[in-house]
Amino acid sequence: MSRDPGGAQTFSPTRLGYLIDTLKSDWRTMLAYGVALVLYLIMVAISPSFASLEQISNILNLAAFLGIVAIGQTLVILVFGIDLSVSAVITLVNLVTTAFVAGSDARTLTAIPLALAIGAAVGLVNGLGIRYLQIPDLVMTLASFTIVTGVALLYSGGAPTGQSSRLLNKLGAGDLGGILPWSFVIWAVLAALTIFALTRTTFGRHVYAVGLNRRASRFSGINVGRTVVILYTISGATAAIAGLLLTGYTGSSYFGIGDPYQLGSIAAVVVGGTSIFGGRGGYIGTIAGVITIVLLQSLLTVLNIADAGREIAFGLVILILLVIYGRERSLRQ
Amino acid sequence: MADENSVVRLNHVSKSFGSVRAVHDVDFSVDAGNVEVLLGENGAGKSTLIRIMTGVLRPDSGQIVVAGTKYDELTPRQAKELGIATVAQELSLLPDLTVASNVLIGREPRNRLGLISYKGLRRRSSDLLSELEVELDPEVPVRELRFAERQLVEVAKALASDPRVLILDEPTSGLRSAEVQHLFDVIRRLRERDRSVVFITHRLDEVLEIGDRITILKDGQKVSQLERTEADPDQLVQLMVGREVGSRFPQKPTADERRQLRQDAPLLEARSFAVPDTAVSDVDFALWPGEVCGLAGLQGQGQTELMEGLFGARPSMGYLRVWDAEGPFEKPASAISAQLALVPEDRKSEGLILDFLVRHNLSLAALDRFARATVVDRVREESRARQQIDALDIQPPRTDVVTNNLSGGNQQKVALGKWLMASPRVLLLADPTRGVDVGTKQEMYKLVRKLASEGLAILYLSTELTELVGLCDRVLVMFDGRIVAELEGDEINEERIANASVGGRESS
Amino acid sequence: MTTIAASSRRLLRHARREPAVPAVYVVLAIMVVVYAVLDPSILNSDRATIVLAEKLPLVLAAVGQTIVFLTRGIDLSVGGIVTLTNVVIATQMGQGFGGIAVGVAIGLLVGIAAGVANGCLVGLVRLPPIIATLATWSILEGLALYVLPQPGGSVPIAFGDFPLRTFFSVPFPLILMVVLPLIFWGPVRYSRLGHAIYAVGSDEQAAYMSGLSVAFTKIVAYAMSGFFAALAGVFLTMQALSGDPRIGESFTLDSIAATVLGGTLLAGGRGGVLGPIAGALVLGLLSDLLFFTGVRPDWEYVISGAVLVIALVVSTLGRRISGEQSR
Repeated sequence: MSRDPGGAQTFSPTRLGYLIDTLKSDWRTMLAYGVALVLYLIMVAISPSFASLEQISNILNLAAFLGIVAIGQTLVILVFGIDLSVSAVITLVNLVTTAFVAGSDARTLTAIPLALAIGAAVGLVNGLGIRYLQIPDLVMTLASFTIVTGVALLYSGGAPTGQSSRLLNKLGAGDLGGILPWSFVIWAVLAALTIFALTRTTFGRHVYAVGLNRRASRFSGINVGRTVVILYTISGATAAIAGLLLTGYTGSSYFGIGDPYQLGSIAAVVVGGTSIFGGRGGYIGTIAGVITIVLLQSLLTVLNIADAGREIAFGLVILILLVIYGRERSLRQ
Repeated sequence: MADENSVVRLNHVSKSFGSVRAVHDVDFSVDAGNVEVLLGENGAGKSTLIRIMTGVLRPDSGQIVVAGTKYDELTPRQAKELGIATVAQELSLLPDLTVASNVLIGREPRNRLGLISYKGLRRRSSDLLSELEVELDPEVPVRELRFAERQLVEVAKALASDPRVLILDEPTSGLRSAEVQHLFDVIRRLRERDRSVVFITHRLDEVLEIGDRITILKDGQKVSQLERTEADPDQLVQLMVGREVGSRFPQKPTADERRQLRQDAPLLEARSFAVPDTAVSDVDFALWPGEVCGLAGLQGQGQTELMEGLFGARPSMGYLRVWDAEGPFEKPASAISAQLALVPEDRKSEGLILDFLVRHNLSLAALDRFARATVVDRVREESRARQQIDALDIQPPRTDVVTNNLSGGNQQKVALGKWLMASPRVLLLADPTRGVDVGTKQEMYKLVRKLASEGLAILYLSTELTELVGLCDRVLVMFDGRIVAELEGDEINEERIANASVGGRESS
Repeated sequence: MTTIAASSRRLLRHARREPAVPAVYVVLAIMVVVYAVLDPSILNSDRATIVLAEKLPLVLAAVGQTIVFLTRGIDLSVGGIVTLTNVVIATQMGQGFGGIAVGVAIGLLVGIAAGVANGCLVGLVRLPPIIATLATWSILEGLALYVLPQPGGSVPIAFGDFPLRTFFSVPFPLILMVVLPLIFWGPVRYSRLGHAIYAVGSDEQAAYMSGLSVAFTKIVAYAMSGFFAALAGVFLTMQALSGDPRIGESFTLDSIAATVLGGTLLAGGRGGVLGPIAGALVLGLLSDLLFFTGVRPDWEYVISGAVLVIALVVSTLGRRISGEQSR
């Protein structure tokens, strides 16, 4: 074991020690889970019904929607990008799905790949625009947000039609064995896949490399452009999945259904400890961020705070959390 | 000791980065009317010392004394206000602003309304530039300038503040001899006005021409200080390096051995090779297995661009063959498949991902070899990483340290190791010993020679003449994007390379 | 060598380096011509005044956004500042000249305060501008809802009439579009502070090493954005004659679009307000034009999004052709 004067990271040789060291270096993720836990305890203290299985189940259900959208947002933010079009995709998928499905279970089966295709297509266009037209991600996803919102408006003619099917309702609002919401199950599966991909595959390694240093990644033979395009496509697809499940949850469609998920998904990622500059963090942290955000929203609802207070509180909490662990590097060493 | 004459003084200053001791307990004094030379090898701590003096870095311990007042640390603003101006190696120019705006940034002349007087801006910046005898249009945005021009703008900017102490960190790396002389004239004029200059270099000829007092750093510590009149070149080298010059480089193959190697077909062939949007054009050369071929020339003559073009990191055209693959390569991934590797010049921004663990950096270029169906085999990755760490003697010998915490020399080894994992046949090394300490340099030279003897073809880019002379079997000299000279075996010496570097003919 | 020749050479060179600015003015000119063809009444200066008064708020918001873009930042709270100014004025403005003046002053102060807060978060605390201004946007919207939960409030008619006049047949709003940025941004632009803003956007680290105060520069930039957004809110209130807690929603995205259309990129250090002024007008007139050509209003979103993308593609290609950008 070499002695390291001056503070270089030393990692313990034992397995347990290694685990502790890894967690220590990932303090932001730990903090995110801590905050979520504290928030939950506060809520239970204020309103003991929150400790009931029913409430927990409800929270998990809501968290699933945000969590799935946040998968795509996490991936995109990890490469120093951002996706401002997710809310529009959710809204579009919601409108198209209800109109297409119109209450039929059979058509639901076709609706699922259709929705995925829509989301993926939007994501693909985003990625291609960013990669080949060299349009900054902020502007590109903003533009597609505008266009997709316009398409949604055109499609629905301003008046949403149709309704969700029983199958979709079961997926969106139903549960497994009376406790575990189906949405949550789907979220869990997707989350596991995401975490596995990020931590155990070459693709995941590429994502972190690109997020930390694009130039060096390119010199190392990584196809940066392709990676970025794939990530934005996934982001569109996950937004579509969330849109499908939301449709089942609400049973109908309305304009603006996706709006809360825009700021929400970005907030969840950042609160979860992933750096807005990319390369640091991951989906494990985002999960904590999602739970925190959902708990916060529920808390504000329970406290019966008016819309105004909710928006203010939301913004303030995000700022505070950012100050704790979201700062840019200081100019001096 | 003339403490009363001392304009700036560093007392017992130390600075470490993680586990790396960049500067340790150094005393350094700048006297009025003196040209103080800071001499030392790459990685000796010169730049770190300077950055402490100019407020860019905070010393871990020690004091900075400016005109009698003691400070524990400075900010760049303070340093400027105290009359310390610097021309650092990483230029601090603003690419989108004009030359004039850059030269006078923060001190732009104002008219009666308090707004900037653009006429005054043009005039004053032109004056400063003409002092350096530089012909530049002050309205041009700096991003359109070549490296040498930027260096001179940076000097003009430093002069604009009429500093008491002007610090020049390796200011002549991209300049031609005429430009160097103009710079020296400016330095002499400053000296006449009782101003001080701190001149950092590792070029002995410059030291002896312009320096008054020489301070030598080695491995972060001050090893000697002498007046110019007391110094001679061999003695200086010995103090810098700590050993005889001759034994620094591993043995080169003899002329016969070289001829033997030429029997095989070249591993790399380039004809009419060009890199658009740069000066690189009409390049013809070949690389044989077993040889270390140097790529020489002043900074910014296209050497880096050529290597990047060969590697596919820049678009290129012409004829290129590497082993049995035909280029030119559109992207680095294609070059890597063709068994061509480039260890880039800037390890911090191009060669390595500093926030990655060492083993992740090592495996990055060859990741597919460790993966089954894209799932990474972490066990194999770990063991191969250990092997590489052993082979290159990387310190600390751990796979799980963050690469940023390693010393410059060890980081460079990781960068090299990463590419060796991809089993290249042709290896392009862009200034691999830049910012590397003496000990590691020696190791790298041995390593390079060993790789060559194992059959690799190596193209070795360097701006250090001693290195090129000591290490290379053949040297290609570039000027303005073209190869202007090819020297072999005994033909290789510093004078010839220097001459060719400025596009000159062989001296009589 | 006359100074006129030298100055015009300089101007030409500048135009060649930033091709987007003249380009957007050409587009604007074309749009105005098309507009005049479709609705000749626009040539009547009274009618033109009304139309231009409508577009004035976005022009002002875009100017503010541009200043922040110059520092390589972004201000997503613009919409929130516009809204908050509007509801504050609608609830606080009294009658008569004194009441109006006080109302405007309060509104502008609100904007500047918000801008300074943004600037401190970004410049001193060093939060990433995207998230920081996204959060403050939320807070400002919340404050607006608190001040005025439902649309309401009112302002004196005289206040609303202010921009609706002409001077020698030139619509007053048009004059304001030029004069307001000139008075409030002009002196800054051509001062050391202005150079500092460009410097920070060009290379923050180099600016710091050159001795500039990066934090202060950013605070000023965001404060100016807040000021111009508040100014936009003032003129928007003149139009709406009442308060609405959702009135400013579109201003954030629109001001960003106008800035980008005007040729100022997120990269910082380059550009100016001239382009975005035209960009805002282009966006503003676009919806009117779509209406005239009988395109269903539902298409508006799609088309403005597409216009944005096309403008970006064109400017990217333009830069590549002029040799500046390689792949």
